[in-house]
Amino acid sequence: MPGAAFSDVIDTADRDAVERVLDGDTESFASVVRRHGSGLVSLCARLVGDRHQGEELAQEALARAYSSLGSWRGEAGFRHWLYRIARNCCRDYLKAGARAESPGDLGDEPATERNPERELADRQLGSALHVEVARLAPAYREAFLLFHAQGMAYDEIHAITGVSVAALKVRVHRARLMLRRALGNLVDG
Amino acid sequence: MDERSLSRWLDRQMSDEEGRKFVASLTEEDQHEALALATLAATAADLPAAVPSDGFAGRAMARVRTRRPPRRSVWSWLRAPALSPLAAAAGVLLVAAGAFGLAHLGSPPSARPRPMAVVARLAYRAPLAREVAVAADFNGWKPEVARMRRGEGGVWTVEVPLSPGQRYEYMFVVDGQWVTDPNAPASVEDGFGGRNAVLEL
Repeated sequence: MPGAAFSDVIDTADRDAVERVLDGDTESFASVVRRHGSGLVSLCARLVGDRHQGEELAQEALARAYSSLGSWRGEAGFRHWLYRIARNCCRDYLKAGARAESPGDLGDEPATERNPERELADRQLGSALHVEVARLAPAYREAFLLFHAQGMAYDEIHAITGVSVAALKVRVHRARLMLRRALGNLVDG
Repeated sequence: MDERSLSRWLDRQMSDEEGRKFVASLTEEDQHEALALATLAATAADLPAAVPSDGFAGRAMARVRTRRPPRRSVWSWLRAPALSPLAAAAGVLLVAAGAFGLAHLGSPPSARPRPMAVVARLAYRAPLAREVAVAADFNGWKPEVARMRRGEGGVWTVEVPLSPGQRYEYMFVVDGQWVTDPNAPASVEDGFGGRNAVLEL
């Protein structure tokens, strides 16, 4: 299966990089940054609702991971370990109350090419969803965003958050129902 | 409407055939609701993803270079603990048992003075549990790093080397469920609706 083979290659590359860094070659960590930087920025920006802060937190997660490489045990997936550190950085940031009340900028607007009316309606719904997701309680927001926006599987979210798969399913579904109520006619299409 | 089936359908855990049958079984009003929820899920999937700005990798590495370099870890010691089990009381956290230089724990020699570590024993009573671990800020919130051993009376224990004068947050993970230590002297909100136990040394 190509996907599995690709994951194996990434995993091997990560393990090699970790060994080299632990042998004193700090610059080998740059390959970890290259492989996982985009994913971490995307994850952190989702969780805190702001692209610039997400990038800052992704950098902090990478720096914390670097200093903690000695505590990574090889049998646990490196990517999940890294993402868990990033999730905890976001959690600390949100806990400190630093998150803005209104959601920030998450990225470039998608280009509009055809069917302007449909594009406008989609964009309105997307913007409204972005606002309402930011108003969810943290546990619901996290589960909803990781599953629906980041496209992660439940067992992967479990590996990162430690929350059981059963609890995650309940959180995601409740979040959908809360958002449905909040968005009303906008999703009636 | 059967919420469980609705949730499975929205989670894409039904086959196409099963999904068609589920939707067909709904009333017109419920179909409308189900499709609204599916629209919402699809919209979430299309929310723009943040991408790193130019120079991200360079800035990240610049920050990395300011940090303490990693060292091969005491976790290799933790995997094969040499301490004999204490008779841990159920659900009680015991901070034990003396101080060790990390050099005693198998780390490579270094010219720098080594910090002293206190060995803390964490204990949790769960006679029916199949697996118990501790996730904490001192292990990157990785329960698989610090699995606890089942002892007499269903008391699970693990020893962890920690630094004196520090404050740590931790949770027990009991068969996959994160549980706050009921006997912790203090706890703090974790920002996700739960509470982390606090250990101050």
